[in-house]
Amino acid sequence: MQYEPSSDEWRAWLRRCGPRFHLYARQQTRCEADAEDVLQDALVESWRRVDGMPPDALVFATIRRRAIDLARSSDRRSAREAEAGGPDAEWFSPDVEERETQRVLGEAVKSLTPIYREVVTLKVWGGLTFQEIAETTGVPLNTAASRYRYAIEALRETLKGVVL
Amino acid sequence: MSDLEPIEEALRKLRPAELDASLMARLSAARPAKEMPPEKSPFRGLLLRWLLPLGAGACVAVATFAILERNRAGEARENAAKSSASSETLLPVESQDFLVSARPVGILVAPNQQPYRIMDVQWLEYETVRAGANGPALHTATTRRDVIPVALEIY
Repeated sequence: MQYEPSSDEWRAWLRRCGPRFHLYARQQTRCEADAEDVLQDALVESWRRVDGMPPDALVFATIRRRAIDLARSSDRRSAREAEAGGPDAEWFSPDVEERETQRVLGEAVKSLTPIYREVVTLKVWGGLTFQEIAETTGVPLNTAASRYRYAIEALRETLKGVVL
Repeated sequence: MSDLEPIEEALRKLRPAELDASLMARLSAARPAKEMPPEKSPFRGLLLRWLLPLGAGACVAVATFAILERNRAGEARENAAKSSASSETLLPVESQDFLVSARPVGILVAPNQQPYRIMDVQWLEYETVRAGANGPALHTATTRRDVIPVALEIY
């Protein structure tokens, strides 16, 4: 690696992008400790791979791969999928004014099936295009788009009368 | 698609939780650093550039000196034997060599890439001489040291 980010540059990037990467890492791992390990490894690996500030899609893809590797290595895949989104994790920082609404919305996101939640996370908070989501998750473009539409529809049904 | 907009808008208002202080500190400390090439030992350069050639040269010099010295000693012994034989007619009747030690000194590579192990070899020579057919036998014991190259097999 030739490029070395300054301490300020690195910290600014962490502050700006860290929360959404962390959110995704939490969804992909079994527990908070695993999420933090995966997040750290993925951030450093992504910077090294492109020798500079990596595109978000690459970081998300690296987080995903690292999480799968971790789950495979410890034979915890089923546990990962079963426990991700556990009630203890505070995934979102609700605004004070809309705290209750956002709490309900956050819980609804957590309750989504992992494959739908993943697409929503990458689209809404990751800011990825459907093409990037398809590449990150290894599914066809149409599948990524339809999963997103299905997830939004499911959320709308769940939150009818609460958010809308 | 338009009926999806309100829920998407609500989702976008939801902000992922900020990194807590301990995680931020941990990630800050993990800042990728430039990978420095492994530092070479200064002794390694010195060894390759100077010590090995000097050592090889020294081995060659020792070997050459030892061979010349042995030839000179052999000639001297021959001359002494000749003069002795002419005056007292001492005739060698028996000679035995015993290998005392063999110590590897180093390895040299010839220009044709054939490696040789340089051996420092020490011999003990027993010689019996007799003055005439029925004269008394005299025993001498001398040590001899050779530095010899031994060709190594290449597979």
